[in-house]
Amino acid sequence: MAIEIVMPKLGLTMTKGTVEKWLKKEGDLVQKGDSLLEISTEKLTNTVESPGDGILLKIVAEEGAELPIGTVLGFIGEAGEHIDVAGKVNMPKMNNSLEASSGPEKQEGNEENNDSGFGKKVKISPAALNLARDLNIDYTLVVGTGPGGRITREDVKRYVEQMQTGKVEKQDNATVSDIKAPVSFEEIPYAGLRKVIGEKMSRSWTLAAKVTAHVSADVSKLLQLRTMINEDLENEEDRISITEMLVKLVAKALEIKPMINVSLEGDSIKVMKDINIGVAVALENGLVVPVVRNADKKGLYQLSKEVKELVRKAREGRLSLDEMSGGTFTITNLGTYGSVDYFTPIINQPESAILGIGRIAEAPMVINGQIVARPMMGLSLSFDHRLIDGAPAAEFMAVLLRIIANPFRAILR
Amino acid sequence: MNLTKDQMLNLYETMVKIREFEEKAKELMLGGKLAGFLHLYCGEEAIAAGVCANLNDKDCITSTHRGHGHIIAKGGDINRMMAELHGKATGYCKGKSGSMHIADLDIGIVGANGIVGAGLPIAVGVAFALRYKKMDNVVVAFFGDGASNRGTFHEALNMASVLNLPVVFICENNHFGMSTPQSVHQKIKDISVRGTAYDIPGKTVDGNDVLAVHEAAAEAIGRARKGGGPSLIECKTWRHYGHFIGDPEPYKDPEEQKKWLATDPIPRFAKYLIESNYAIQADLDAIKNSVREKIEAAVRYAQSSPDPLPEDIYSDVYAG
Amino acid sequence: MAKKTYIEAIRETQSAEMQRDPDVFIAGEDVGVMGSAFGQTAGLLKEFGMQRVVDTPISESAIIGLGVGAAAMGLRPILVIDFIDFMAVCMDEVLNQASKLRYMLGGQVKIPLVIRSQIGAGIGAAAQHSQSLEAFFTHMPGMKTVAAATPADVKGLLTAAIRDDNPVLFIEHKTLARFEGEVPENDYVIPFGKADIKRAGSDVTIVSWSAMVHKCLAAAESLSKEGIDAEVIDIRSLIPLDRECILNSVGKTGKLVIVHEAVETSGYGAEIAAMVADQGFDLLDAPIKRVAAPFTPVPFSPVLEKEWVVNEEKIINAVKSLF
Repeated sequence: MAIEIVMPKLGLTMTKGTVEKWLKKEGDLVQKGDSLLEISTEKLTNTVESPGDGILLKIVAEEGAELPIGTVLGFIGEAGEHIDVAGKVNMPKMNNSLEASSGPEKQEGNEENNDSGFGKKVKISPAALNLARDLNIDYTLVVGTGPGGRITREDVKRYVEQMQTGKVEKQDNATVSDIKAPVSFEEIPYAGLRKVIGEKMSRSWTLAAKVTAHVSADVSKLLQLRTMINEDLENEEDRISITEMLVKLVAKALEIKPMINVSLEGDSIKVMKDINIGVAVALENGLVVPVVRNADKKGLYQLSKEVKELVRKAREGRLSLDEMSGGTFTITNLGTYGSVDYFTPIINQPESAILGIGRIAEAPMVINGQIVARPMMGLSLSFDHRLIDGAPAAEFMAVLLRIIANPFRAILR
Repeated sequence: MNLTKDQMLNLYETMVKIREFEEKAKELMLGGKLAGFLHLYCGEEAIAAGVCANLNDKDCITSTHRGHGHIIAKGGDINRMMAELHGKATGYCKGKSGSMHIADLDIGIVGANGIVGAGLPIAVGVAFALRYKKMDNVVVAFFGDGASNRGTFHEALNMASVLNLPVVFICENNHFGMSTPQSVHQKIKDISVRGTAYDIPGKTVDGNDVLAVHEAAAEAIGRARKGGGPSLIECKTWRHYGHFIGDPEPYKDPEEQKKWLATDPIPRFAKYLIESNYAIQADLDAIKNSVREKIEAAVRYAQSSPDPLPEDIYSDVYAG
Repeated sequence: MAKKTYIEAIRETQSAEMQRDPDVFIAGEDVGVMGSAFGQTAGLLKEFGMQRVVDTPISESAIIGLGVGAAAMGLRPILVIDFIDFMAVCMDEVLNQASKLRYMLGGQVKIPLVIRSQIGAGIGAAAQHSQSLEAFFTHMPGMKTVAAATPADVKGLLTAAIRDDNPVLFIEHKTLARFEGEVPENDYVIPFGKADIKRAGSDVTIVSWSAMVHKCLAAAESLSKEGIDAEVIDIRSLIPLDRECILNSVGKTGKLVIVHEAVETSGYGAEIAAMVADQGFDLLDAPIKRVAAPFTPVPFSPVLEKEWVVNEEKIINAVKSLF
C-alpha cells in the first residue's frame, strides 16, 4: 500500500498551507525522515518529511497550490505499485490545486478580459475592448478618458489614428517609444509568506480604525542602563539589546494600562490578562512575529534569552506556529537601520496596538531653559480606535515615556 | 313541457355519460395517468344534462373548473376531451390546458375556466355579441355557490340586467366553496334571492331532479331568447367527491353525505323512467354499456395520440 | 396633413374605424353621453348609437369580461378603463382571460380587443390616478402593449390596435391631451414593433416612450448646445419591442440611456437594459443608465409631484455622466 504524503498541521491555528517547492522528484528513492518538500503557512516555511521508506511514486500537489491540511500531496510506495490518485486526491477539497493545473488557459482569458498582464486592472468598455481586439491592439497602452479613466471606443480610435499618423503624442509624460516599449520586469510570485503577509496587512488595514501617535523619548538613561548591564559581560552574544529592554518596559506599561492590551472578538472586547509581546523580525523573504509569552512576569535576562532564541529560529525558518501566535501587543523596530524616526505600523490583528521604534539620534532639547543634546528615540503607537480612544493611548504613552525616562525601577521586578 | 321518450332517454344517457367519464378520469388520475388537477362533476349531472338539453349548437355556454359535465352535455367530443386530459396534441386545446379549460367554439362552448367566477362576465360579453349580431341565441353561464360571492358574479348580473342581455345564470349550489360549507361562506340559503338585487327573475330548483332543472331552464332560456333578459336559476345539488381528487374532505358530515347520496340523480331518474314506463332496466343497462364502450374508446384514442412537440410551446400565443 | 390634438386623434381614429368595420364597438364608463373624461369619445354616441357606444356600470371586471366574450364571438371591442390605475380591479380579466384564452384554448379563438387607458402624473391626481403601470402588461404573454407620444402615432397605433387580432393595451398619457401635431389624413397604420427615431444623433441613444419622449427631445436639444448629439428613440410598442432599432442605435453611439415615467424598480427600462446587456454587450461604451421615478407612490402636492416626475435636467445629467 502506498503511503500518502499529506499537508501537515503545524500549529493550532493552521488550516491550510502552500506547496512552495518539491525537494524530491517522482521516482526518487526516499527514506523516512527525508525532506520531501517545502510548504509555507502563515508566517513560516517548513519542510515536510517523508512518512516512510520507498519511491516517491507520484506528486499530486503542484508547486504554488494552496491546500487545506490533510490534503494528499503525493504518494510513496514500491515500484509499479498502483495508486488510487483520483479516489484519494479528491477527498479533501482541492479546488485550488486542480484549478491551478488548468491555469494557463484561464489566465490568458483573464488577461484578455481585464488585466493588463502587469497585474493592474484596466477599465475598458465592452465596445472599446471589442474594437481593440478587432484591430489587434494592446489596449493597456491606450489612455482612457471616460468616467473613472475607462477606455472608451473613442480612445481606441484616437490611439489608432495616432499610431497611423505616427503621432502618438506625449500622454502622461510618456514618449512614443516609451509607450511602445514593453515594460521589462522580473516576475516574483505573489504567494507563500509574501501573500500571507500581504493579506494579513490589508485585512488589518480595512478592519481597524487605525490611529498612530508619535513622540520622542529621551533614552539617555536607557542607554546608560544598557551600558551598565552589558559592561562586564564575558560573552558578547549575551549582550542585551534596546529591543529586548523595550519588551520589558512595554510589558510594564501594559501592566499599568491594561486597556491597551485588548482584542476585539465578535461582540466582545477581551482585556487580556497575559501580556505576550510579539517582536517583528525581518527576514529576507518577509516578516515574522514570534511571541514572548508573559513578558511582564519575566526578568530582563530571561526575556533577552528568549527573544534571541526566537529570532534565531525565525532566521532559520524553524519557528513553530504556536511560537508565532498568542501575542497581545507587538513591537516593531526600524531604528536599527538608522533611517527612520517615525512610521505608522500596521496593527497585528487581532491585537489592538503596535509600537514602532525609530532610530536613536542626538537631538537638541531644551531642558531648564538650556539647549542640550540628548539621545532621542522615535516612538509610534498605532492603535485601533474601535477599542482604544485617543486619551487612553496618550496615557499609555505617558506611562511608557516615564518608564523609559527612568527604566531602573521597571526592571527591578 | 312534456318530453318525448327519446328526449327522456337522451337526458339519461347524457347523465350516465358524464358519470362514467368522471369515474374513468378518477381511475386514470389515481392510476397516475393524468397530471394536474381534476375536479369531478359526479352528483351534479342532472344540471348540465337538464339545462343543455334546451340549447342548440349556436347557443353558448361558459363553464367552470368543474366543467366536464357541461362540455359533455353541450355535445363535446369525449375523445378530444380525454386527449386533453392526457395532455395530447389531439386534445381540444392541443394539450395546452388540461381538464379545467376545455372549449369547443364550433358548438358554443366558450370554455371552462380555472378562475372561479371568471366565466360570468365573459358570458355577458358573448350574449352582447349574440344580440349585436341580431341572433336569437342565448348564453348559459354555469357557476357554483362559491362563485356567487365573487365580484364578477355581481358585476355580471348587473351588467346583463342593465343591458338586458340573453344570459341564463345557472348556479350549481353543491353546498361547498372548495372546502367551505355554504353556511360558512354566505348567510343566505337560496342564492336565487340575489337575482332580486339586479331585478332578475331568480328561482331555486332541486338540482338532482333532471326534469325540474330541465323545466326551469326551458322557461328562462325561452324568455332570454325572446329578448326578455337574463335569469338566475339556483340548482341545489351535492358534490359526491371532494373539491379535487386527493381532497380528504374533512369538512363533510358523513350523515349529510349519506342523505345526499340517497338522492343521486341518476338512479333517481332511472327509477322514474322505469316506473313511468319510458324504459325497462335492460334499456338502461344497454345505454350504460354503450356509454362505457365509448369511454374506453376515448381512453384508447387519448393514450394512442401523439404528444405535442416541444416547439408547440410557442404556437397560439398570438393570432396572426 | 392637418394639425390635431392628441385627444382629437383618439376620437377621430375610433370614429373612422367604427365606420369602416361594423364589428367595432366601444364600452366603458362615461364613454357615451359624457364623451369620456378628456373627450376621447365625445360625439361617438350620437354618431353610432347606444348599441355601439355602451355606457357601462362602474364594473371594470365586467367591462373587460364583456370584451373578452364579445371578442371571442368575433366582435372588436374598444374597452375604456380611463385610468390605468383601475386596471388593478380587473386584472384577472386582463391577465388570465384576455391574454391567455387563445393559448389555453389551443388557438381556437382570437381575442381582438383594445383596452384604452391612460398613464401619467403631472396634473395633481395623486397616487391612484397617476401611475405608469405599463410594465405590468409587458409581463403577460398574449397581450400587446403600445404607447403613443404624438397625435400621428395615436392614429397609426390605435388603428393598428383595433385591426389587430389580439388583445392590445393602448396607452395614452393624460398630459398629452392638448398636445398638437400633424396627423396623416388617409388610412394610416403603424405596424407594432416598429420604433420611431424621433431625433437622429450619433453620441448617445436615449430610449423612451409616451410623454417622456418629449422631455427626451428637449433634453437632446439642450445637450446639442454642449456638443452632445443625442439620438432619441420612441419605441412606441413595448410588446412587441423593436430590439433591432435599439441595438442598431447603440451600435452607433455606444451609449444607452433609458427614460420612463414609471418607477425605476422593475420598470420596463430594466427589460430594455437587460436585452441590450445581453444582445449588445460588445456595443456598449459605457454603463446603461435609467432615468425614472423614485420608488414611491406618486405624491399629490404640486411641489412634490414636480420633483417626482422625471424632468429634462435629470435626463441631461444622466447623459453627461456617460461622457
